[in-house]
Amino acid sequence: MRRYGVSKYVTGLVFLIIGLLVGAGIAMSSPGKTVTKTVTQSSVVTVTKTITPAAQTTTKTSKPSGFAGTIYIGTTISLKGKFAHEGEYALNGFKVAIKWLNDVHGGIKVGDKVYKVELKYYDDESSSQRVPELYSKLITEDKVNFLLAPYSSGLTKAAAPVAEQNKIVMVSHGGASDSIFKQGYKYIVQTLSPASTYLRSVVDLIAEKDPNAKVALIYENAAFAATVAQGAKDEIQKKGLKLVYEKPYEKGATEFGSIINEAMAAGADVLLGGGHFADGTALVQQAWQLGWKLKGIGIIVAPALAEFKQQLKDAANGVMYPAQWAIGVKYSPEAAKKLGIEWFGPTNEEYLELYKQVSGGGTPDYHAAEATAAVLHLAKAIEVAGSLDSDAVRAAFNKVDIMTFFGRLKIDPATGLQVGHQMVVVQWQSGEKKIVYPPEAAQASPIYPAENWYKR
Amino acid sequence: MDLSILAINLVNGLLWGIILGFAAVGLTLLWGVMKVVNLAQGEVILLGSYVAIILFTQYGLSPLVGGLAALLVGLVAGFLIYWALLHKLVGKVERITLKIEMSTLLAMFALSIALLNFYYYAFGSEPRGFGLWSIGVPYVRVLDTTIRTNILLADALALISVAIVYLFLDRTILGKSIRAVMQDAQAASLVGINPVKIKLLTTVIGIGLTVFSGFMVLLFEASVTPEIAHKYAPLSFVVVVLGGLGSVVGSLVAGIIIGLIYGFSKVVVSLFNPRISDPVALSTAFIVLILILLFRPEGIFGRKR
Amino acid sequence: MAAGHDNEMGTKGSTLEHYLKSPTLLILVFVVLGILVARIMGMSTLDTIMTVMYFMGIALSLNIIMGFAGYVSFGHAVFLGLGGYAYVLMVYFIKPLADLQNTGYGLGAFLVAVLAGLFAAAVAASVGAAVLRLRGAFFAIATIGLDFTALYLFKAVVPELNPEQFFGAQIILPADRIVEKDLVFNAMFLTLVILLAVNYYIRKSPFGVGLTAIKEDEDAAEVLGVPTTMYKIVAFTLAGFFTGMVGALFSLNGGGVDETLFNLGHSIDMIVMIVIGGLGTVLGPVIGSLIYFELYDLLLVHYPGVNLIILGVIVAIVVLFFPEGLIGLLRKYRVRGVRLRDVLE
Repeated sequence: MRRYGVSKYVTGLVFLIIGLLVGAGIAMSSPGKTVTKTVTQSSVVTVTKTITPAAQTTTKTSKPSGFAGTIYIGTTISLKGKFAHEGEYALNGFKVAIKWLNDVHGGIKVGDKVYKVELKYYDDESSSQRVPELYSKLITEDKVNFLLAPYSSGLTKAAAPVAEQNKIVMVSHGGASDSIFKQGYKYIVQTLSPASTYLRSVVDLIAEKDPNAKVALIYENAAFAATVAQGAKDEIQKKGLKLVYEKPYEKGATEFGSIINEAMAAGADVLLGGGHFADGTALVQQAWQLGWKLKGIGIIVAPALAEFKQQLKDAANGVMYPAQWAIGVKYSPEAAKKLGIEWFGPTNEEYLELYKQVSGGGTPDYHAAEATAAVLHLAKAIEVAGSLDSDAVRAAFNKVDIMTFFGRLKIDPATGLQVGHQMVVVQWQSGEKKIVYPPEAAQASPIYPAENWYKR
Repeated sequence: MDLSILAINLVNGLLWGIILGFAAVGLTLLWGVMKVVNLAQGEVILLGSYVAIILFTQYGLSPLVGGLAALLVGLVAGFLIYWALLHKLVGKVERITLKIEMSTLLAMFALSIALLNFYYYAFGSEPRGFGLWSIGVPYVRVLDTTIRTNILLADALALISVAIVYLFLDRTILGKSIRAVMQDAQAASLVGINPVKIKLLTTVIGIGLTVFSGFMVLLFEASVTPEIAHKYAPLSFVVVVLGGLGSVVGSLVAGIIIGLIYGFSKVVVSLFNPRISDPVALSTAFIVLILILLFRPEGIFGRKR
Repeated sequence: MAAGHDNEMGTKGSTLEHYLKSPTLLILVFVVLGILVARIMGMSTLDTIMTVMYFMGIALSLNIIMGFAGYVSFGHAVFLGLGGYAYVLMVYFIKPLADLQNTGYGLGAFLVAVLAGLFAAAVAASVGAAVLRLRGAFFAIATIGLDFTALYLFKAVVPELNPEQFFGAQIILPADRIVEKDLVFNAMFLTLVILLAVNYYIRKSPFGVGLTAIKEDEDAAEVLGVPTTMYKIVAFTLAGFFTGMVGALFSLNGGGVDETLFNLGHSIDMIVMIVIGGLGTVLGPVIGSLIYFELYDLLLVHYPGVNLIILGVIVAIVVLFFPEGLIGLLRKYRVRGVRLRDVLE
């Protein structure tokens, strides 16, 4: 063994100090160290893993004075990853609602005080692993008063325990899966129609037109799509249609050769199903390319986006999709009056105008409308509660029964499931989206069988 | 069992297997000759897909031109990958030790992180493809099943390419030197073969073929997202291990075997529970991989070492 | 045996003298204290600290097989997934375990996580006995195969366990089965301390020397009488066990589990942290995970979108030019005439 002498101790000490620094480094690695919480600026910089540019604040400050305070609503948006499409629409939808509440409505009235609304959000990158962390951060650091769920059932499920543990009301705008609401959670409420009702109106339409239809149900093997399929199966049975083929496919599948061939061999002439954008588009595209003669096609999610038409051109015509909302729906203050319920929020015309302003000339789709409606739903419940306390607001949700541009909003008191709202059926006709069902909301009559698909 | 269902799935499995087999040819050459496992296999495949897509959507060029461009881009990419990553690690080394092998794994792995996230950055996660484009009529009927002509085109190109690569390795002097290095690098350098030259050539050909196969993958899948890298890379490893390192024909045959096993197990599992047939069928490929690694690591076409 | 000499040296001087000469243990203690101080003083959010501990945990787990024995397990995320699913399924279906996890300031959750870890370890031991005969790339590929096999089997089986509730392979814990985050922190902290101790012990023990010998030259180690097969299996099992535990507590923290836990991306995290820090040391993964955590953020804030591209480039540069990682780099230098390699381990 060599002798090391004094210098060895010195080096040891140097490393001790390094150890101290590392330890202190962990202690100091607070993600909030550079957070700037100014109301008008949108520059909140953070240093935690998983947080993209950072929490951004959306505010419209036309009335700087006169507010008693600010209600902070927190959420995550999928700006990257597989839900980036939907995320962008949802973000604009939130912005529209906030703009309407602050600028047009004049703030949220809580008792005799008026509060301004502000949104705080992070990018969850469509990852269910990022979501819980970001939601705790919103609650513990950003001190938001209420939460909006992330887009998609999967991410909503990931966020739910966090909201529940912190006892903060969370409104779901993109989590349609029914099972989230069957876990005994007390603080989640739903603004959109649950997944099990998605294809119900499409099945009803087909049953009216063609009682002998032979249906193939081809859907993504994931929480949301599987629930939709289960609901569709129940409705098909109820209406006496024939289900000749059923197949769940793997997440991310884009090649459907064998599935479509099996369905054709089973003699199916109606295709129902889908999942998300990529697979739904690929499914319809290959059904077209393989020459499948179909009378009716009802696909969830994908056909609602303009890119669907861009990719499929003429093959898009005839394809139907269920929508929570579509441009041209006829919900109006008059319709609300007829039902004897209160109207809340902008009219459909005002909504389109506001969206144009917020998005810089864009037009909303149903993801945007869901998001807007969720904020309106929450705002109404806060006003009914007359309090910012989550328990009071949750109780008030049970009393809310309103009509908005998005449709009727009313929840099941026990579970929080949406029961007031109804899906509409939209069909691509000559390159345009037309609401075709139910008849009272329709802009055009449905084309069934779809000529371009069936007679080729 | 419904025979037409079996036929549909076996035909589909065969058509897919040919693509899988060809996609792994570049990998098997790199692994066999240079002992470099290309962990960026899936991302390199996607390079070819995206080259063809850009030329089609941005410049309106025919997908067939895009396919040719993918091959050319692939050859250049091979050249760059050799000089940027591999030369420093394996260029002058005669015997690849375990440590060097680990370094190459990690280097290719770094390339895969960078490339994959570049795709997400540049192309997003939306599906991209040739839309409704097809060569001639969109589909033909074969046996009991309808097949997109694009898939037939992809399979034909794959088979022709495998044949050309096989003839190149078997008949030309350059090809023979590659095989010589594969069998015994030291002996090869003794008879005057420049190992650096051969390694560069192998990388260029291997990466080039892999990128080219991205064009076939795109024709088969109709559209691609960056995520598809995670489907084709692991399956390529299965194919290479099953076919035997460095064996071009083995790779093709192994691809077809995997495709047929996939199709067959899907039908069999469907008999019991159609809901789970897809994931179980996909897992069979990896069970085959582990079994082969354990009981016949030289693969079905490899020579015992 | 190069790794053993510090041990003998320690017996000569006083204890303090020994630790000052070789302060690895002290540095580790300070890291642990840093976490504790951050938690108690509320200097970081609980979730930030949990993320740091999660990263450190998976890096230290894989380190046992990759750092010491040189076997790169590319599919190591499989044990993360196995542990996560084992934990969530246990508390979902077994009422006593669900009750247990809320007891004893987190000790209950820790015990259930040990069960989940044992499940992962059982898989690791049985599979390891087979695949550890393979070396280098073949071993790496085999573990990837293992990961995908498990991924697809769980995707097939999980939805069938409760078709009413488990659509896809995602399971969310019901409201009465989730655990307070403070308790999860305690359980994770305890796991991390044990993991550090195990890593440190292996580094100092004949077992660790044997693993290092396997890394340097397995055939030679065999000839020298190292029971290579047994050592490798033990190391792989330990790595699987701790990865499983971390995966279990990570899932508990998130209130559920889904198939993304099997993503190769998690293996990427582990490997990159060890490579940046330095293979074959205890400090390497610890420092590597801290650097990775900060680097990730820094890149994310300043270069969103291209952050992971840059990360890939950084890993390539480390592999090509600093193959021994940060610790390896430091060990090449001398401070006041003393080689740092004698100080840092």
